Amino acid sequence: MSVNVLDADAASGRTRRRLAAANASLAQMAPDIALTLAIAVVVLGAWQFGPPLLGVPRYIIPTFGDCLAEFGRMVAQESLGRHFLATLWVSVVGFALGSAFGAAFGYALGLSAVWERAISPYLLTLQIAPKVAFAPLFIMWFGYTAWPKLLVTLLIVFFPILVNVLQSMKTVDRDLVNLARAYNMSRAAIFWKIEFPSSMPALMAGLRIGATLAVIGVTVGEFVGGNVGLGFLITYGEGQANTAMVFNAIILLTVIGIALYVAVAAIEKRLLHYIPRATH
Amino acid sequence: MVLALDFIGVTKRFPVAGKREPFTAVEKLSFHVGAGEIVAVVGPSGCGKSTILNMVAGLDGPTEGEVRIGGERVTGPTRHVGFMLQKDLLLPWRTIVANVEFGLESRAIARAERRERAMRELERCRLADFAHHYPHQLSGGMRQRAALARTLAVEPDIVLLDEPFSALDAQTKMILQESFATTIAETGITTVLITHDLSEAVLMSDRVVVLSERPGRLVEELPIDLPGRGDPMGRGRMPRAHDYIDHLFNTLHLAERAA
Repeated sequence: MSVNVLDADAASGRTRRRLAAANASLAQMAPDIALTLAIAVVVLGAWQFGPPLLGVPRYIIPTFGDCLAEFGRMVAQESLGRHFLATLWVSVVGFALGSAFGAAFGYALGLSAVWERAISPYLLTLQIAPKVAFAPLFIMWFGYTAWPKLLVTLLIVFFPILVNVLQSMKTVDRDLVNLARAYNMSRAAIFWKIEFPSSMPALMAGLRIGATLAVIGVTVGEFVGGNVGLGFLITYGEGQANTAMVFNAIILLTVIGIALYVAVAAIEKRLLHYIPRATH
Repeated sequence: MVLALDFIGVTKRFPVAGKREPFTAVEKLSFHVGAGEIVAVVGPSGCGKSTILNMVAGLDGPTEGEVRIGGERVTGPTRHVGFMLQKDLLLPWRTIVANVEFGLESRAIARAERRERAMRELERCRLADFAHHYPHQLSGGMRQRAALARTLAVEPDIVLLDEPFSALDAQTKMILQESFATTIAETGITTVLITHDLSEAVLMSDRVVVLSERPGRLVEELPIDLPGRGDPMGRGRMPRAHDYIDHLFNTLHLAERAA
């Protein structure tokens, strides 16, 4: 019983502390937010009024207003929503699959020194090979479907996660493993109780990198083949000398990348709550 | 149950990459630790102290001779031994109570009983109020006490302490020596204290085993004939304690080496 009471106490204490911390950081952040917004206003102003003042034509640099107008037209006439969702879907699924495979291979190789030595030269070769160069090949194999884009994304996300996980498996504190061995723990228990949680920070760092790379994979996949997605809109806009369309597509791709990154960072913050964060 | 520990003619050699001669960590080492006794092992660095620890814990076997616990030869990790290092080895992602439960998880013990035993040990180490904190929220001394609670929670028959206080500041160290000595006196567990600190060895043990430089051989066994093993600070005030420390100081030729 006393244990339960302690639990409840600790939980409510945690919530209180978290709320207090949130308030404190909001108060601290207020000037920062104001500064960031001020920079945004300056940049958008320069973008809107700079090019016409310098006599740069709109097919070289469209103004902010031009891009907004083109955005409205794209939504209405080019079914932008469909293109956006297609790209978003491939990014998310490709990222998820690439992460899952990368982590699984990283842990598997981390558990077996023999396989790691046997496979690592091939992995290094594949890692160095430019993944985007595979895109045309995948189109030859799978045609103008979602598969080539998904594969390029998966492949480009796969390696940084694999490398991070493998590295972390090799640097797990030997004394912790020995402690578990002295307690008679099985190999599986040592993995789940020591190695897997020890590798979490490295896995999350890999996922952050993967999140930023996923969008590159999708974009290249869409450049090369198909008639859907933001990457396709970039090549389409280029063909029509519609610079505003290219701008808009780039901005939306960035939005997808940021969303993935922020999602990973939020998960990381929850999972790695036990690591004391440096305060500036 | 309280068990005795014996080293009988133990030699441990490690192969060295690129060399034909193996590296000898300890050589023909024999000593006895009686049931319920605290024996301190001192020696210059590199006298094979961690090798001794690994062999008792069953993580590593001797090349020659044998290590016996309660008369039985050690061939692998057993449930008799608990060990503690200079590093606390607390898992940062677990709360303190979950860390104390760690050693019990490989045994068939119901979750509720595990929690109960862990809380009992934390009570004993006066950490019950911090049961649901994470290790990074505790001071170095508290973390080391939590490590002791984890070590004792498995109810070992023998406890190995490998320089458990050497990473702490001088005052925390004294307080912790006192609290460890009290806790160990309460439990009556057979204890091997591996240490660099000669006064710690004298103040906390029944007997001091002195090892030579690499390869570690037995140089001397010094029984500490002082009352109050559970109270190192009290012992520290006895003039005879300082005679023992001086004696160890001379045995290890520390003065000559410093010259």
